[in-house]
Parts: sequence; C-alpha cells; structure tokens
Amino acid sequence: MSSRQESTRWKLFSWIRHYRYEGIIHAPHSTTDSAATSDDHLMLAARTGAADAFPQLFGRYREPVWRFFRRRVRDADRAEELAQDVFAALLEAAPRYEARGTFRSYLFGIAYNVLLADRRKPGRNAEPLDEDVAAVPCTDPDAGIWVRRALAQLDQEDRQILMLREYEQLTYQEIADLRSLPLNTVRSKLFRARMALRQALLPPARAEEKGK
Amino acid sequence: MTAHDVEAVMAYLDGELPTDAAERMQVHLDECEECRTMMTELRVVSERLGAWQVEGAPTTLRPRARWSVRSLSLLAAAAGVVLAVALGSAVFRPERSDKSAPRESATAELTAEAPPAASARATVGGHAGGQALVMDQASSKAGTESAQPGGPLIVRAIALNITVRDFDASRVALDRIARDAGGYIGNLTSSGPRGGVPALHATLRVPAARLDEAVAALKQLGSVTSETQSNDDVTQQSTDLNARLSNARTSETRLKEVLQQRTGRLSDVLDVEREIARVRGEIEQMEAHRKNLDQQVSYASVSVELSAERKAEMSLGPVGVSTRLRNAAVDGWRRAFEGALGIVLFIAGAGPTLLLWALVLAAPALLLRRRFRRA
Repeated sequence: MSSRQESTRWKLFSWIRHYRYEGIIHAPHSTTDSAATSDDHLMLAARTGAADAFPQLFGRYREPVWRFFRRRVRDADRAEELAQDVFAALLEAAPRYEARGTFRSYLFGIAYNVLLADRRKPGRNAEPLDEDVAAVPCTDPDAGIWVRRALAQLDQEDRQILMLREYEQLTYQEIADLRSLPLNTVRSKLFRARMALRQALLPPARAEEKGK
Repeated sequence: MTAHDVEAVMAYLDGELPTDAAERMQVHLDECEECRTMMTELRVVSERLGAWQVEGAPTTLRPRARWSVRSLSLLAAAAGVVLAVALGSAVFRPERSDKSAPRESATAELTAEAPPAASARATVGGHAGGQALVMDQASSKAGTESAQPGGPLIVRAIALNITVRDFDASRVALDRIARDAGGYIGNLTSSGPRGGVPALHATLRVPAARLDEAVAALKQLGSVTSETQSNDDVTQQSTDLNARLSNARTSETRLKEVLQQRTGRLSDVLDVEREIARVRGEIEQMEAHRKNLDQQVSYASVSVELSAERKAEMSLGPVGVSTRLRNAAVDGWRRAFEGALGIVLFIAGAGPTLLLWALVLAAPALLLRRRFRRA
C-alpha cells in the first residue's frame, strides 16, 4: 500500500479508531502484517515449547477474544468461559499449528467454532442481539441498543460478516478463510449489510431520497 | 474500474483494494461527489456500530492450566471403563468350577456309552472247610442229623464283578461253569440298553466243595473288578433248630401214644388231637427252615455281574478327531476369554488405585507446570 493511501486513511479514520478500538490491536496493514508475522512467530515458538510465547499471545488477544464473545453471548460468565476455551484449544492445537492464513483468522476461527459448538447446546440460543429491546426512539441512534436492534434485523450470515469486519477487524480474506466463503461473496454480503444499516440509520426523509 | 462501483468504494474504505486500484479510486473520489457521499455514509455506519461497546475482559480471564477437555474426557472414559468392568465382573461371573465343563461336555460322548462296569459279584456260600453235605431231599431228618460230624456250618457267598470282553460268549460260559461244578443258575437278569453296554446279573448255586473251582473258572471270563466274600456261621442256628425239631417230634410221638392208649373223654381226645396238629405244624415249619439252611450250607451261591468292556472307546476312534477339535476350539475360546478377563480384572483391580494416585499427584504437577510456564 502506498504511503499516500496510508496517510489518507489515517487522516480519515484515526480518530474513529481511537474511539472504537482502544484495547484492541489494530493497525494499518503494514503493522498488521508485521503483527501477523509476530503472531505466527509466537505461535511457532509456543509450538516448540517456549515458555513465554503463549502468555504473550494471550496478552495480545485476551481482550479481542473476550469482546468477540461478549458481543455474541448474552451471559458474561459464559463469555468468559468460552474465551478460556478458545485459549485452551489454542494451546492444545499449538503442536499442530501451521501458518496458514493469518494468525487472527486462525484464532477467530477457533473462537467462531467454539461459539457454534456452544450455540448447538440445548437452551443456549440467547445472544444479545436477540433480546427484546424496548422501542428506542430513533433520535438516539448512538445508543448501543440501537446497534443491537439494527444488527438483529440483518440476515444471520451478513451480520456475522459485518461484525467480524467491524469489531474483530478481520480483513476480507481473513473473513473468507474463516467462513469458508469466496472473497467476492464476503464483499457483497458486507456491502449489503452496511447498506441495510445505513437505511436504518438515516432519518426517514433522507432515506427516502436515497432510495429513489 | 467502474465509475460507480460502490462496492469498490467500500473496499477502498476498508483498505482492501490493491495498490493500483486504490490509487485509481482515490482519483475517482476526488472527482465524484456521489461516491464521496457514499464513503461518508459508510464511515458513519461504522461509527455507529462502534457505539456498541462492551466492558473489558474480567480479571479472572487469565491463562490458567486447566484440564483440557480431551484429558478430562479421557480420564472420565478410563474411569467409566474401570467402573463398567468392575460392575460387569461382579454381575457376570463365569463359574470357575466349570473350567473343564466344555471338556466334560465334549467328552460326554466318549463316556456316555460306558456306564461304570459293574462288578460281578460271585457270592459263594459254602462250607469253609467243613463237610460237604450231601443234599438228601427225600428225608431231611436223617440227612440233617446224620450230617453233623462236628465242625461249623457255614453259609458261603461270593460276589464277583467281572468285566468281560466277549459278553455273549461269557454268558454261555456261565451256564457251562455252573453245570461243570455240579450246580445250577439260580436266577439271571440281563440288561442291554440299545447303544449301551450289556450287563448281566446271575446267581449261581454250586456245591460248597466245588465252589473254589467254580470261582476260578468264573475269573477266567474276564477281569475281576471287585470280589466280596461272606461266610455266615449258622452252626448255632442249626443246632437250635435241630434241638427244637427233636423236641417237637418227641412231643408228637408222646401225644400219639396218649391218643392211642387212653380212650378217655371226648374232650380230652379232642384236646390231644388239637395239640398234635399244632406240633405237627411246628415241626413242618422247622423242617422247612432246616432244609433251607442245609441247602445254603451245601450249595454256595455265587452272585456274578458281568459287564462288557467299554467298546465305545474303540468305536469313537474316527469321531474322536472332530470331537477333539471341538474340544480344542472350545478350550481355546475359554482360555482366551479367561485371559481377557484376567486383563480386565487386573485393570479393575489396579484401576482405582492408579486413578487415586493420578489424582493425588495431579494437583502438585499442575501447580509446578503453571509455575514453570509463568517463569
């Protein structure tokens, strides 16, 4: 990526990132690339039995994994348990780890599977998005509750992709790897999801105008 | 790149465009209001989405060594196996005493045809070394009383169990032996179940003097599996009998004289006659008894049981191979089962203890591992 593009992006979104992404490791692709390499290195180090490799990885991804589950599981204790499961699974799978794709897609792939496994259990179908929320006046669109309601209206698959993009900041390719979808499909679904949210977000008048 | 490829705008926003396409998009955005608006709106959507914040990870979310699900399930499986084995071995208990049961059942064919050979008991009664009493059936009185030159009167009996090779020939030989010894066959019973071993029980009466020779001849028939002798001393019995008989006869004679001499009252005559009749009855009873005794003394009895040899053994020659194969197979399975059961029993026996030790040692081991990892 050119430095010009990079600086443009930074200009546009740096403050958003600061607002949204505190605690989460996110960076322009270059840093991400180097971070991914570093993650892979750590993982391989863990595989060969380096004592501090895994704690480092844990330190890096503790928050992201937690938040992944917190946004998808109603119960906080359950979310914590699932996060623990992810790291336990990571540790267990360490000997077999092969650097295929990025470490993040691998990690969140594990997280996603853990989530699916948990959802398959009877009586565990509650996620925050399914909550019955009281009618929120549209004049307060910044409330998290609006987001949840809006997300709940999306198609399940589209929602997953959107959340992976917006909250976990996975790249299109990482999402495609994780969900086993073609890249173009990921792009289309993401776009569709965002359009739907845009529709919900905009004031009615303007939405009408856009809809023409 | 299409002018209004809004997906590309989004991709540009996400930094997903390849370098050259991104540069072209940048140029386009500088020119296209619509696409800029789209980009802004997309940005706002992302912003709104970011409004959904969740709390930070709890402090309890720490790297901790826990039982991995796999090891736990393995442990649970092992415990389950041990438990199942313990329960199973308690419920299903093969009888140890039946260790040879298949062998027995398999070899039952061999033994079914061969009931244990009965022994031919030749009971010989007779005079041990005493006088050979010549049986005089006509006059018992003279015969008996004159045949007491002293010496005990003994009733001899011999029982012999003989297993013979040739059953039919032996049966004929019995007759011959009895005749040769001057005796006779008292009674005879023979049984020959179909497919079973023929057996025969006979009682020979031979003169006491010829007893030994008869017994010797009988023993020639086959192999004697058992022999029993009994010598009853009936001397006292005989003497008593004789005495009583003599008294009775004397009484009879006296009474008859009385009857002849006195011709007294009728009632007296009747009494006497009644008495005579009674005495006569007693005398005859005693004479019969003594005759029997004499016969026993003079003729020894040989009780013979003949049984054929177990021919079944020979005839099972060809069958024996398959039966033996079956025996071996059954034995093999039983042995294998016993072996497997032994292993399982060992696990059942040692399992809980090992489990206990594993649990006891697990806690410090985990602590050590965690400490090592933290270092």
